Amino acid sequence: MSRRKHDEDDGYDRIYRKRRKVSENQDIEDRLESLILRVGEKSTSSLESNLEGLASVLEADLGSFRVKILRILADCATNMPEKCTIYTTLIGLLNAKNYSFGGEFVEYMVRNFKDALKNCKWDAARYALRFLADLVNCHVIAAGSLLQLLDNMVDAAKEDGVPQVRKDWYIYAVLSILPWVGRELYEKKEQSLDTLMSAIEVFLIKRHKNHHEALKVWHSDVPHPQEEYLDCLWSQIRKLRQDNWAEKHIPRPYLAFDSILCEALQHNLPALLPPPHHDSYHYPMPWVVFRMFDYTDCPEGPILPGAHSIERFLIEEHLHQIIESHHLERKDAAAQLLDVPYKQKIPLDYMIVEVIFAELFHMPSPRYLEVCYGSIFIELCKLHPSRMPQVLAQATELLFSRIDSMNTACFDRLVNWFSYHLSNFQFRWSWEDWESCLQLDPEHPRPKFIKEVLLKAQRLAYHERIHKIVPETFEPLIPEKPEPTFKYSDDTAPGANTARAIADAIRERCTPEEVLTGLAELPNPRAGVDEGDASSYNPLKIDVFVQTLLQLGMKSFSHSFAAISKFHYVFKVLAESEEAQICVLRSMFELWHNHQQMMVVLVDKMLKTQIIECSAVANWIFSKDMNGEFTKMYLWEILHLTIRKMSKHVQRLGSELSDARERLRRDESHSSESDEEMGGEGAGGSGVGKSGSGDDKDKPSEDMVERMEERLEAAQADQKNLFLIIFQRFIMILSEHLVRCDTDNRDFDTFWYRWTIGRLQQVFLAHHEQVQKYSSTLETLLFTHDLDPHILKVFQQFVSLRA
Amino acid sequence: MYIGNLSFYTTEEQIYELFSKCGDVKRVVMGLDKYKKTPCGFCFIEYYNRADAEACMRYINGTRLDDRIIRSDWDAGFSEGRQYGRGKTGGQVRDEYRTDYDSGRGGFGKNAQPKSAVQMFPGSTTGGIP
Repeated sequence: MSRRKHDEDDGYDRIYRKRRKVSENQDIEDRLESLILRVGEKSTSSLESNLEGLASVLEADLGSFRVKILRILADCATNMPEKCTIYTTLIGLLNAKNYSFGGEFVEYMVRNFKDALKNCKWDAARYALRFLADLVNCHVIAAGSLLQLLDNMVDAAKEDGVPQVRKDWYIYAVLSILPWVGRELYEKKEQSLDTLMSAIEVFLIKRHKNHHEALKVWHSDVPHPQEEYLDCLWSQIRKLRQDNWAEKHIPRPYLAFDSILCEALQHNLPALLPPPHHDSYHYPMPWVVFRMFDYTDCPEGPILPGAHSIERFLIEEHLHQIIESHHLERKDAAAQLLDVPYKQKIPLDYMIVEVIFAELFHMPSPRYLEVCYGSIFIELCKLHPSRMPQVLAQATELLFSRIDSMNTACFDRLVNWFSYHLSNFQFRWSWEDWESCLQLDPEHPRPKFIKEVLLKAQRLAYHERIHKIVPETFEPLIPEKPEPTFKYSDDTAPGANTARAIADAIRERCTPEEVLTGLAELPNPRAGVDEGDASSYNPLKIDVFVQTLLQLGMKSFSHSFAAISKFHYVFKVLAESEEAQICVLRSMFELWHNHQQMMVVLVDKMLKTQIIECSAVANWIFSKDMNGEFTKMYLWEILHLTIRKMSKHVQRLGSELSDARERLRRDESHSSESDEEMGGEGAGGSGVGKSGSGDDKDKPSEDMVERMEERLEAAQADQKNLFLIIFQRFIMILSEHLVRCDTDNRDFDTFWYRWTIGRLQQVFLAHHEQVQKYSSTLETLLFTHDLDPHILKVFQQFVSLRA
Repeated sequence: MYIGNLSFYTTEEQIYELFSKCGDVKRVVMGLDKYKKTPCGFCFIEYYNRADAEACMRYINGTRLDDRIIRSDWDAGFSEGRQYGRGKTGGQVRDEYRTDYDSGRGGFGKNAQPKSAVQMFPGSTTGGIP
């Protein structure tokens, strides 16, 4: 039958066969890729037989698909670090069958490693290094050759005149791969390994750790010390060495193939030197190892690996990796976290909770949005409803009990997380357990925590609900009803008549000019004050207008925004100077001081509509009027949104400028090209930015670029000025406090002092990238050597983050 | 973004608080009953940048606000008129035909009694009711 068909359709069939061959190739490639990617996943056969089978298939296909296979394997090595030992085993088997392929792969992998180093892809570099190290276990790379590479990396840590964070990374990378290959190096090259370890030890003793304090979550080292990350890893590796490098956590499929692999010839790594430091290189910042649990916190069952056990390091790294891979899909993240291969061997729920809190409390700032971690916790509770909520509750209790020494930034994050989490679980909590804290000073972190949680809970719910969720005894901590306090409802207040008239006019839909006319009759309490500084404004007019207008808009945020928008002109006329703008803020505060959320959104709106300047907000926050509010979270919410607005503005102008410069440069090079050609329709141009014809409106002129540069410079000057104001005010109030306490012979370490120092530190760390630009100015002008050491220390710790 | 399954009592303030966790909120437009001009269980949210809206889909969609699981969806963009419910009685269409009791959304659906076959298809010869 088929032969008859062949005879009949001869010509067509030939073409069909050729096409089929091409698509067959594609099919085979796809199948190979699929086989390679999926090896190690759940299967009916054992991993060993799958690896053996796959190695045979790949060896057979090396002829036609060599490059493709090489690339897929290298991708797996980089992108699936948790399957490192599976793929190294596969490479080992392939190398045993085909020595030259093994060599090619090693070369390819080494190139990837070098590229990662040059492009500052630090995680990719570490995974590549780990893979190369594990290839020693599979007899693909000679142990001595790897040691040479490790020595070169440790040498990078001996260099002078480079940032410590660079040296730190090279040491960290070397230490982090030793769990995989330590044993093999110990057996084959014990002395060289000892030398390596000694060199590392020398470096670790000499390195400075000024940044350590700034990155700690708690000031206290009780019950768990907040270890600097390199110190911790060093302790873990030392303990591993004490155990003769016997490591049992990492799965090692190559052990089953030892007889095959040890017959294979090994390759030597090409000479590899770390690329020299370049000023544009950014190295990872140091961190602190977050610990909240020890084995006594976990119930009967598998033991929590000790703080200095290598298992703790390996598992934590794996869990962090899972979060990194799945942070965009919270359900996958939760499922993967709960499904790790070693889940029966450890108190997994506890380790997951600790790792997620580690990310949430990471200093200077969490890797992902705070709500990402909150939502992953919720998914975990859904998947493990009989266990996870209890572990989280235990964790919360623990965090609350240690909140006295928690740094301020983390305190904020804990408040945000806890209120958000409760809002997903009907605010159910055993508040009575915390009743004892009602006896404490209200500025003590514990009652303050509850107070701020209830404030946030009120925002997510409503005022009356808060009364229902806490016992009556918690009355002192319940927030005020978020209502306006309008002084002009009192007819006897000066200006009350005008206020009423203005309110009526606004309700009748008057124009902004009519409002100004209405205000004109108000006297100026500042009349007679020296107007030498040319800032003439009328605080009474401002107060009557602002309070009346905002009171009219009290129904909702939208109503207030509409009011501000409609009478924007009046704001601009009345509040041109910074002092006048501070008046606006003061009036807003008088009206809305019981509704913190309203104040936050109003300040945001006024900044956005340029009714007030960032510097006005900063000066208002530090003004005497706001002393009573100074330790409340919302005020700092306002400060940080103000700083962020400024930073975003500068960044936007900066990227617009570089875009424009780029387009200008391209246009200039294009027009010089087309000038040389005949015609001039940009015939030689390859697409972007046609010269002459067409996109004239998009093409930036030199003038435009110059103007953009000026705008950027002005914005940066404003940003610098904002930081100077903020830091100067901090220094002033803190110095005043320290001096007064000294004179009165009182202990300076009050709650107020701790909160304030914490807020200062928070500004540095939350905005460190921006603040860094002005480090030298800050050092010269403000953070000088004669400053009180307590204050200066905060600045020095900040500087050491990148040193 | 369109946000659905809100309680009728959920306020703009609550929405601002929750959705600000993904980024600065540009604007909230509450969904209103066409006749009563009161919230009827949905709203529109605008962020300044797309990344923030994506974060909203990832981390807030499917979690609770006012004890209700709320839903977020990409929306083509707000225009005047879209803030009103399109159900016959002024609220959202889904509340017209809902048969369950939902205390956060006005109790029973507006058409809690299912229509008989004759009422739904006038002129049908079955049923026999004139």
